[in-house]
Amino acid sequence: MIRKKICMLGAFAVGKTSLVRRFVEDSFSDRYVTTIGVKVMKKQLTHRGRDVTLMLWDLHGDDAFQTVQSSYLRGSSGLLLVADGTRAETVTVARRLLALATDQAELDVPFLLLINKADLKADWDLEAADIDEQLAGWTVLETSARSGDGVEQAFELLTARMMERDAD
Amino acid sequence: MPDRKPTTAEEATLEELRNLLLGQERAELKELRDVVNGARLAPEDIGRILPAAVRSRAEGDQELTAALTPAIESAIEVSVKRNPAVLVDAIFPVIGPAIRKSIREALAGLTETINTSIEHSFSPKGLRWRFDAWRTGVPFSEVVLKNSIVYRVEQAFLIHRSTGLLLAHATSTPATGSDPDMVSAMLSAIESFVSDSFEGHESEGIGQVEFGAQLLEVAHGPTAILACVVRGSLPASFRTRLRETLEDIHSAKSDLLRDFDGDTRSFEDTQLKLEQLLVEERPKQARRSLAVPIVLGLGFSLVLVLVVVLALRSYDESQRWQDAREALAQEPGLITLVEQRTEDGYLVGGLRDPHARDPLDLLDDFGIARDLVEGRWAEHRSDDVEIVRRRTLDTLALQHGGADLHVSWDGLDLALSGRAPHALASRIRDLQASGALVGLGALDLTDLRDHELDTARAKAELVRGLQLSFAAGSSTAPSGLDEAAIEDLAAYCAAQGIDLAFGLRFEPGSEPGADLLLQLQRREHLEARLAELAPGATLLGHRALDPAGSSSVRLLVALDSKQP
Ligand SMILES: Nc1nc2c(ncn2[C@@H]2O[C@H](COP(=O)(O)OP(=O)(O)OP(=O)(O)O)[C@@H](O)[C@H]2O)c(=O)[nH]1
Ligand SMILES: [Mg+2]
Repeated sequence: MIRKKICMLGAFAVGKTSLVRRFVEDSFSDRYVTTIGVKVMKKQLTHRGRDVTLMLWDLHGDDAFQTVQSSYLRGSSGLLLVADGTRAETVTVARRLLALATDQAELDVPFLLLINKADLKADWDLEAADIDEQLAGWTVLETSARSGDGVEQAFELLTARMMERDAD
Repeated sequence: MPDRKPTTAEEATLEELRNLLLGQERAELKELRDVVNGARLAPEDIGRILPAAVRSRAEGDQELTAALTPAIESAIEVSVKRNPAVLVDAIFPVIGPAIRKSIREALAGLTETINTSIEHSFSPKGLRWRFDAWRTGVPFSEVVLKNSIVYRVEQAFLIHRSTGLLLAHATSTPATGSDPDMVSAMLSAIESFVSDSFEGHESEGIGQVEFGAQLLEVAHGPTAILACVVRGSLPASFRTRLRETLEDIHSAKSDLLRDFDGDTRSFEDTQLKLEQLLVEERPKQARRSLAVPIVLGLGFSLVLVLVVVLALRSYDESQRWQDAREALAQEPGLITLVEQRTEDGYLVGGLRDPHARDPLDLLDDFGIARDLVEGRWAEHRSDDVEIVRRRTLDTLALQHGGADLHVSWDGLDLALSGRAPHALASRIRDLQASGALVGLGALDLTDLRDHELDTARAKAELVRGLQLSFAAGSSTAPSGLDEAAIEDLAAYCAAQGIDLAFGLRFEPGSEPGADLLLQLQRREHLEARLAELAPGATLLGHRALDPAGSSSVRLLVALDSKQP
């Protein structure tokens, strides 16, 4: 049995909790209940014939009231940075949180950037080209916790990257 | 030696000659010279002689030790500065037992002994235990412990410390709803929280976490955590055992723990060790023994009373603290993660719902002065029934109920009945619709009546009854002026504190009437009549009902509430 800890990081209300809920329970709610502290959920999957248990640490969003504490990040094998396509500034927050993870929590682990709320693409506040320019070398995926598009793929890609890292 | 350097050929010849003449001695001589000059001592040579040298020197006196100490000290210092973990990991298996041993000796199960002995001293059972102790020569405290401690270790978790991932798990109760993976993660999250919030106080992590009747007993090593779910009261000896098991695991698996990458297969063999922790202890069934209490007699009892009185004194404070801790654990909306004595008081902290009681107040009730307590609380939202109720009433601004409003709870379901002022009633409905009442179950408003709406409706009823008819072309006394109804209405309005005003209007489609004078006369007439019937009321307007301006007029009441 392989177990891995993954942290969800991002600004508030970008949809971290919703993405985890979509992935674990395959459900979605429009109600916004902000996360206080951390909520852990668990998901089992198989990767190339091996059982993998993902422990998903859904951290509270970074805002003026609660800043993400690096001690929650300790021991993570992978990170999902989440931004909200309708709020361009959330990409900046994601970059800052990655810096926190690498500098303060000393993590050097695979990560992906998810631009969430793809179902609202008409209202998006940023262009894919902007992101690519800002974040050379990052893997950026579009997701929608509401429709489920891209969610499973994102978690599976991160799992694959973590497992590759172990194989090296 | 001549200044001129010999040529190579000359040198070779000379060398040969020297060898022939001196041979063996020459080699020895060179070796000696090298030693004397201290030159070219090969590291291997030193390595060979060093242990022997140190040993022989150390047998003689302390000088070598004295010489080496500063160097070693500074080497350790450097190592610790560079990465303390290395040293801590190395020392942990040694230091753990040492610390425990000294603590064990110092405390010797003090609290448990005192607690239980006080509890049992006056009971017949307690007297019998005294007797047993006296008879067998075993200390009384031991007898008490043996007889009264009942506990069961239900689950054991081995958790990787930095990732919070479960390495191994054992359980004695197969169908326990809790998911071991989740327990591990949550414990780890709580520890992170605590280490952030209580830096400097709690570097060791959490020792115990209470979950209702159950207790999570936790032991920490540098790279792993061992936690057990326990029911009942745990003897100190179990804690020792827990630590020892953890140390065993640390020394057997230190490399695997350090390089852990999520693959738990290599920890499967620790399962057995965890299973050995799943112990259970029941109180021994008492044998009947008739003679005992009588034999003890009065004298012994007196001595006992004395002992107990003395013990109670010093015990009072710790008992109050103990009670306060229990009360904290029971208090809705508080999740106490840390409660401990510090040098100069107490430290308590954890998570607190804004609607929970102030922990300082609570401690104060137990005679623990506020200025002795340092509280550190982070906010959280509790699902506790009591708290959800308080929060709901607070949000609805109903903390104190209302004179006419009745609040009734069934679990998390709330039913409001009775009358509320319009502003409140509509606010309640808005809040219900917006989903802002977090944690609340059903909200039943079927019996909630809107005070003002009710009044307005009641008035509307009255108004409908006031139909005035003027004879065609007449401006005086309409035949059907219902004086009693107007008086009623005036009295009602006065009782309700409502200004009364009358208005007259056309029915839709009708014209102001060609005969303006007639209209004015009618108005004057009505005004005069109303002034008699309802002093203080004003006539707001006047319109005839039909185009001919002949038949009837409808009276309207303008409800102009004086009070909010
Ligand atoms: N349209 C749309 N709405 C979304 C999507 N994902 C999340 N939301 C909504 O966005 C709001 C915030 O979602 P959460 O998942 O609670 O956000 P969060 O990042 O966990 O927020 P914090 O815990 O406060 O940091 C909720 O109202 C969700 O319903 C999405 O993919 N599409
Ligand atoms: Mg959230």
